[in-house]
Amino acid sequence: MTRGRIRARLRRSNLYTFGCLKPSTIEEPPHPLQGPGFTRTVHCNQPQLHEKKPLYYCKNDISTTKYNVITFFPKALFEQFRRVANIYFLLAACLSASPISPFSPLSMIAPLAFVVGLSMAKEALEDSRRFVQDVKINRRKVNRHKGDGVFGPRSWQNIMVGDVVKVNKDQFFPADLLLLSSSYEDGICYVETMNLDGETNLKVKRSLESTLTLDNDEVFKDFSGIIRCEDPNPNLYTFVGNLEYERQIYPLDPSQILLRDSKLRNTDYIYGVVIFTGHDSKVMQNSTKSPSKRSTIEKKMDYIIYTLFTVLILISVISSIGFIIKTKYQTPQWWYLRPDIIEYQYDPNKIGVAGMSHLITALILYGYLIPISLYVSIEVVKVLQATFINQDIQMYDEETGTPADARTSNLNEELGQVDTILSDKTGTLTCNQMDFLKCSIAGTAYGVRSSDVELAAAKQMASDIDDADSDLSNFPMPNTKSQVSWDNGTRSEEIELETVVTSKGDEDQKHTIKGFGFEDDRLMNCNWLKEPNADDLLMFFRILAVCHTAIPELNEETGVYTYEAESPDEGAFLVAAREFGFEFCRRTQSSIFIREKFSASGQVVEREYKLLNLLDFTSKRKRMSVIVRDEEGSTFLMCKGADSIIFDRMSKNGKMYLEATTRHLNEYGEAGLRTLALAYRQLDEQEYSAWNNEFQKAKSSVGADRDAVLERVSDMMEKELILVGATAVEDKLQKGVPQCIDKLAQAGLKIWVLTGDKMETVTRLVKQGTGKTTLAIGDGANDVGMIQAADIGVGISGVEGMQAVMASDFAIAQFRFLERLLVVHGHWCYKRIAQMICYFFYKNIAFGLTIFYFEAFTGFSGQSVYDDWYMILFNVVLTSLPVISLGVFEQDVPSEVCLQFPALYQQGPKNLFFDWYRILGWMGNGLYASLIIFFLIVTIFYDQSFRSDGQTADMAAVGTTMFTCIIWAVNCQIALTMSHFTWIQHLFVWGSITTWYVFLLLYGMMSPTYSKTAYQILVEGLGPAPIYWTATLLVTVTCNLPYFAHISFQRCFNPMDHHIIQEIKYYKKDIEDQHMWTRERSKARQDTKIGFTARVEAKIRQLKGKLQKKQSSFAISAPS
Amino acid sequence: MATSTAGSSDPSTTRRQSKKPKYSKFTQQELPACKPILTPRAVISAFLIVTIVFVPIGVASLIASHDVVEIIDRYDAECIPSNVTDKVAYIQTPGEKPCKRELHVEKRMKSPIYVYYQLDNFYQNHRRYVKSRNDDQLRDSGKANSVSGCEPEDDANGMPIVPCGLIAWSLFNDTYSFSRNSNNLTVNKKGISWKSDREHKFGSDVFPKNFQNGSIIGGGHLDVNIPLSEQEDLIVWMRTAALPTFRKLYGKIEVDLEKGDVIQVNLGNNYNTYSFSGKKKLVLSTTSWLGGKNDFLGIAYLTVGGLSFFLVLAFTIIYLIKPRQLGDPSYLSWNRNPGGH
Repeated sequence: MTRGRIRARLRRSNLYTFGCLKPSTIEEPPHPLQGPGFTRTVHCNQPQLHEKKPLYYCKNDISTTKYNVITFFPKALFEQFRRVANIYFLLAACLSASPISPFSPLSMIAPLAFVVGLSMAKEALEDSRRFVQDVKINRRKVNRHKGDGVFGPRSWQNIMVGDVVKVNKDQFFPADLLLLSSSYEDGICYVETMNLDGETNLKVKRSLESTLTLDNDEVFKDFSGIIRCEDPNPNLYTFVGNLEYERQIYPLDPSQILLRDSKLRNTDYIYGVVIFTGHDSKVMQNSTKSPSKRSTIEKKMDYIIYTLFTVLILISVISSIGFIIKTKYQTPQWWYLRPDIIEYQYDPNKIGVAGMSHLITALILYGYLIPISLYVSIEVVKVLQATFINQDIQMYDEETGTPADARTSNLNEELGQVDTILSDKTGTLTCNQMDFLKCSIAGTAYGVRSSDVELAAAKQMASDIDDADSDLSNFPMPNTKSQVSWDNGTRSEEIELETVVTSKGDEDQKHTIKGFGFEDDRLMNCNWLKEPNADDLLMFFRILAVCHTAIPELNEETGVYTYEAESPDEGAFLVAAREFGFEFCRRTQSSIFIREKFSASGQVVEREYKLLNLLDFTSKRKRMSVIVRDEEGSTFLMCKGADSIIFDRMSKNGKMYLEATTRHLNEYGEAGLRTLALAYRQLDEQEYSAWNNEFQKAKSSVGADRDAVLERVSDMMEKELILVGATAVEDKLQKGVPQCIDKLAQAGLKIWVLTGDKMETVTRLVKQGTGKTTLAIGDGANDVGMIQAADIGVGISGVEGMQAVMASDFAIAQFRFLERLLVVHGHWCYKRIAQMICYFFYKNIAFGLTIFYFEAFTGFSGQSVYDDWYMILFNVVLTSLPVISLGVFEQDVPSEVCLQFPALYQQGPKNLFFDWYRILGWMGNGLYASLIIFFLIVTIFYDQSFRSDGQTADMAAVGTTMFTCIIWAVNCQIALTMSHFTWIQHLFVWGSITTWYVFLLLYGMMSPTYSKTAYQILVEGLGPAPIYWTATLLVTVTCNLPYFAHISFQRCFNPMDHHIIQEIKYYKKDIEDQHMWTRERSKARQDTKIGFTARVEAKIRQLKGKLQKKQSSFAISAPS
Repeated sequence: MATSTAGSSDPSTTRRQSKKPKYSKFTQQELPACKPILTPRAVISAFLIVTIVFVPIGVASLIASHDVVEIIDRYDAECIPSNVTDKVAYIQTPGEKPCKRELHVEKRMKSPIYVYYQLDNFYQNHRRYVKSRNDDQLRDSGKANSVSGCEPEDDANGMPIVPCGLIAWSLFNDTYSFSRNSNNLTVNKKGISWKSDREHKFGSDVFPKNFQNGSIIGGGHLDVNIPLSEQEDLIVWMRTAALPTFRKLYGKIEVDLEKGDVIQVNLGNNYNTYSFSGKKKLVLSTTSWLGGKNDFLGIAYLTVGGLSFFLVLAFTIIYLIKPRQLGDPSYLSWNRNPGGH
């Protein structure tokens, strides 16, 4: 608590020159708030006034669900029937009650009810998850003024407009608040808006002067005031309103508004009044409905459905024409149909009506071409796939305890077709934790440790050399001596590189200081005093220690100072300065105290630097400066900033180290480090005081151009600088990020790292430009636009923010899990769904067309050869589970091979498994199967007896045999399609065939009232007939023979990558010939020029140049 | 303050732990699996097995089909007296329309010899026709009144018809009797229908009522004193055929017919197929284990077996000429077209 009070005494507002903080002395007139859009009135501390109209505002509980208990049924049902296919099935079901229908009503309604019911159940499940999330948020607690100056916890959902709340450090604001006061005496507070805009640097908010006194619980006993302000709107960065307090009216602006979902940081507590609650809050108003996304495969499936609809209409028209001809010219002679008294749908005298009604009959009859169960099977498969993604233990983050979360299951297969990844940088790729790694002072480069980029380069070099080495040894070398020399050359280099790589582990253990990765004995332990330019070094360290806006905090346990800085860079500088012996230990209103150490023995001198002015950092200025007076009385301007900015402002004699520093800066840049240049200038007193007058004048000026004037005045001082050196900090990549990016690059993915707020625009341009699948990954609300605009949005859920995750389709805890998500799950899901859909169309074409062929033999009358129950069971029971098991469990190669050969991923973006060639191939296969099944059976059972006891086959016998053949053919087909059989697939495929016989047996045992023509058909009719079994065998083999020959041929002579790898694994060649295995793995890398890898490659080129020189010298020296 | 934080951290860690997916081979998709690979050996063996299995079955089927002796006699045109010009009017005139046919036995026929009638261009599978029956009244004597679905043959003069519907109404009614050398050959008409039909679908206490009493008489009449379960011609007829050309069992001749025998057929030509130019045939056939005479199954088996033998040869030859070592990494896409990606 002592620390808190000391800090509270500090008026932090003085630290800021620019920024949002206007000087508090200036009185602004209140906003003239009138008319529509400015009707909101908030009675502070009198929430009871807001319980009734007209001042009733919405509650603070939020709901992001699509439905509630009452609206669920109608709304979800409506959603279901927005699908064209479902409307078709609904119409068919409605018509099934009429005599036009070829099927019984049950057989039409039951599958539809099943499909719609299942989809609705899925909707309900997803919505209930959202509901649980909402409840969790709504039940968060916050301290609220209960009355009489007593505060007590209350859940967020019960917070009312006008409530006074007290928010403690690191808590989220429950609603949009007006800041009244904070633990700091000048009413300042720090806010982290990561959830809103993804920025991790803290924003400063500041209360009105007039409410500063409201800084303890008791005073709220009698507090009251009225806020009149704008109506709820989605604009996060504006606010217009007035506060009427103690009979005075004060204007309010955004700097007093604390937004819901942002977080209080570095401030013990604040008091605030609730202005906007729940869905009125800016963040909720700002949230956009996530657009519903559909995968490329699903879009393409629509075209297949259209194609099949066309085929359906075509064959329906053909059969209607056939029917019309038959009915018109032949039926009148068919006395056994009583054409004299006939229903309208067969009446030759009203051929128009009969033809139309037959068309409808036909459309229903051939409906099996458009599989009603396809949608439901895909839904089931996708939900199960999503479950596997959620359950993947290797995408579970131990640190944050977050598993992966497939928030929508629509896009699983799209994960396997990604072409471009758009990534947010800060927080997504990097930890936003800066490590001071290297520096260049007075033209000398310090710091021996390598950046991630350099390490990766070394690693890759090592493996490349391994390859090169082995490649060479494969060639017979004429000169043994020279081979030896080569060997020596590479080996020694290898060892050197390996030490670089392996030494990292040891160093990691040594270096535990957060933010400080620097290692160079020349500067440590006061050794810098022995360096030639010790004066410059001293200046460099002082700039590091003095030029900032941070506050030191003493950790009482360890006795070490930590720093609360606005940006992590600044923190890293201060840690570095401390390690160099310049410990920033205290800040007062006007001074900075540095403990300086000039000898290794530990003698410490505390020096005071009077802080005269602070010209803080803005993104426009790209620099910050302080003007300080040291104990000797000399005045310095110390400046740090972007190198280009600093270089433009140097004096003639300040360019001494310019050349060397520039060279070092380039190297640092190449190594992926963030650089800043450091410079200073000594001021003479006269010049300074003249400037300071002007500066103070500008500072207290009123008007729109105040900032511009301030900037111009600052500019006048920040010139004639003397360059001291440059710093290089590393924005530490998150764990596994380099490897992950590298793997993704090997998988042929293009990766764009985007920063700034233009991401959404870029995303759109990319999407329109290429038409390829894009994936956007980000962690903050600023990424929401990008996440929603991209084909797939991935949110990082390891961090606390929820906005990105809420907008995303998939949430993973760390960036590195993206590799597994795409290369393993994406690859699998793509292939699974693609194969599954192809197979689905195959089996329904194979089945549906047999019904059509039979029509031609029944005078196109609409009679089906199959029992109604066969038709129902075909899609629902007899062929559904195998195809679902294909969609859920199929693996071309196991997950570890997917990861070892990221190049396999390219099969997805190249769409090798769902191109029209393949789709049409499958449809052709279906057509072939239908022809074989129908015509073979019809010819085999033509007219002769089919048993030794002389019985001829009736329609039931033919239909049942045909159906048996279909069940066998399509289930064997799926067995041929699969390459991965667990017991589940075996059970489903062979179980489906068994089920058919079991069903037939049981159905035949039921009373003929129910089983009709199928009564005892297996036991009495077909079972004892050898022709039934031989026909089944013949048809099954004949149906699958071409496909089998095709895949055998393709595999033998034109194998795909996964075929080869399957074979390598099958014959355990990877174990026998590990060398080949590693070589192929590295070769599978795609040539990429992306982000990290590109940098690594540039580094490799550089290293290789050196290596070659070495090798050639070896080669020359060895023989001699 | 400190204690409360420490206290709250504990439940949060347990909560975190509970979110951790449970490891199981199933959830991690690591279930043991067999991953068959189409090696050339497997492919060739598969095709070889198909050949080895199919060719014998094909041969056996063909032999079976060849062993069957079949006599087919089309009589619809010949059984119309040559002076009749309007065949439809002739067939529709009431009264006997006898016709004599001679069948020559070309090959010895072992009993039982099945007698079939074959109709052609007769759409027993027409939707209107198939539906036009009521199974309830056929089985249950108490449900004689349930005639739904039988329209227009549901009632005659307001009385429900048993058996109702178009199928029963259009019952085939040509009759055949056979003699060899003036000796009658008995045609056994018992047991020509399915046992399950006789016992469970057609009631033994259901008798024909009001059958063929309507304005138009369709096909055959039924003896009102015989229960439906014993009206086997009707039971056979009521099993609708799948195709417009079909045979139905008429009876069995239970003596052998020798080669060279001449069979006299006394035929009652009653059934009207002349309206729609349908053929009528009388068929005598023996059966094998596979049933009647149909070479198609055997030919199909031999064709597929032969085709698969051809594939065996093709694969073997191609494999010998241009073998691909399995798991040869040079076939990987990045090795085949370097820089192609």
